[in-house]
Amino acid sequence: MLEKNNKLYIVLFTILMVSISGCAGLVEGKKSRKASSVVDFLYPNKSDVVEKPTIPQLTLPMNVGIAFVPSTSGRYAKNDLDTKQKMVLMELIAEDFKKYEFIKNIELIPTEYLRQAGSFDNLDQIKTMYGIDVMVLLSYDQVQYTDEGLVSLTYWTIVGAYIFEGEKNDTSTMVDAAVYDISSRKMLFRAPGVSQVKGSATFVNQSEELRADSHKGFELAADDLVENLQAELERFKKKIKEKPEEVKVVYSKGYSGGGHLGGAFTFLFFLLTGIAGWYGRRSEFE
Amino acid sequence: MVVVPNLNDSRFPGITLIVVLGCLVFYLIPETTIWAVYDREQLLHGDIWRLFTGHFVHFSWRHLFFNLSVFAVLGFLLELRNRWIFLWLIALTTLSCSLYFLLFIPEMSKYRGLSGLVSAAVVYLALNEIRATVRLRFIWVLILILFLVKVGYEIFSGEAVFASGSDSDFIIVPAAHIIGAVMAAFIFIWKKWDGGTKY
Repeated sequence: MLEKNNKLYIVLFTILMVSISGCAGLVEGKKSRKASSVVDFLYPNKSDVVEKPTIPQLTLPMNVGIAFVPSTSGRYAKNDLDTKQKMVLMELIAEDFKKYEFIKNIELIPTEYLRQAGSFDNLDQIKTMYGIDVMVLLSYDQVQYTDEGLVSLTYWTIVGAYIFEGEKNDTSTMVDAAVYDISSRKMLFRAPGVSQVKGSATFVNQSEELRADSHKGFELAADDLVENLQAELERFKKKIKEKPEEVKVVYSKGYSGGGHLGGAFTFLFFLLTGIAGWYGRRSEFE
Repeated sequence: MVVVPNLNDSRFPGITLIVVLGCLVFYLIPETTIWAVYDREQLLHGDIWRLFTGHFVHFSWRHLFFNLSVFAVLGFLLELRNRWIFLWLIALTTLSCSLYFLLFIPEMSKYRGLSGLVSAAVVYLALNEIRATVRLRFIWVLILILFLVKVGYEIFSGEAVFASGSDSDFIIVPAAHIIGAVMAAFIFIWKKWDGGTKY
């Protein structure tokens, strides 16, 4: 009898411990992260002396390269963006910049061509391979949180795990673009793009929903990046005009030319012609 | 002397209207731009029409607006006075600008913009008004000086004065303005020697 009671107590104790650990799962959320860093790629050895960049010379129209820097977790990190996703995002970003007359060509460069901690030597090799002058280095940081709500209590029914969306997902994404002139090692300008995606999932399809949220997060962040990048490009163009000593611009064969009067001349012309017309008419009728 | 001609005149500024509509069509329908733009490579392959149509294509709405608004007014004023001279001005200016680019600026692969033609019209109108007008001559002299300052600055600095704006993704070509002015002066002098009346 005593032995039977002992066995019963052991079984009840085990059930209690499992339940408590399940409750702990209700309280503590899960987090996953995928990230890459331009600084780690370009300046991997913190103890090395950083080379001072020279004055960049931009030859218009330019050949531009765009690439994601390798992930900080290593090339084959479990949760890293795959090559196809990266190419899709790069095409999304490149599409809006092909219209500019000063950009001759945009090359989408696979991350596999960039070595971990490749630095500027790696960029020089890419420059030779692709014939590009300017490089857009993309990096990202995406964090996904998963918390279980009260609805997750229905998972005990087993069926509930398939039907009720007890998992709350929160995906924060940042994509950063840093534009470098390869020859001079100088960063010309940079821009970020951010997004936040909130979603929910059942216990069973949680990983599928997290992948979908991750893709959506990157797409939204890329859209935001394109807008910010265009704004930074306009600021950079103004800066070149205001401070031509900081960036030298030269024109190679194949540039586009145009005839432009400008707003001020147009205004002055209308003003003076209007005066001439007004006084001319008055003198005719006087 | 009155700048604005007598509106009872039966002439309709059809050529000006065609140019304005052409510019608008090329801007609003981007597919036509590919066919019409001055493209050196395509010209050398035989697309002769680009010598003329290239001037009616523009890079942006701002580029289009400033060129076209001035041209519309000048075209109206000039065409109502003498349609044939206006037509010669357009033909000679567009042709000579494009041939100049082809022969002397081989590194420029594409060109867009009506300002060469507008420059010709500005100079031609100013020269005629300076000759005919006594009281308001100084205004036309001032317009001519402004134009010369603009072109001079473009040549010596390599930048555009008055034509600011961060949407200028192209290089401004002062040669277009100079050739326009030269064509205007040529037609003006030819008309004077020909013994013709003003315009």
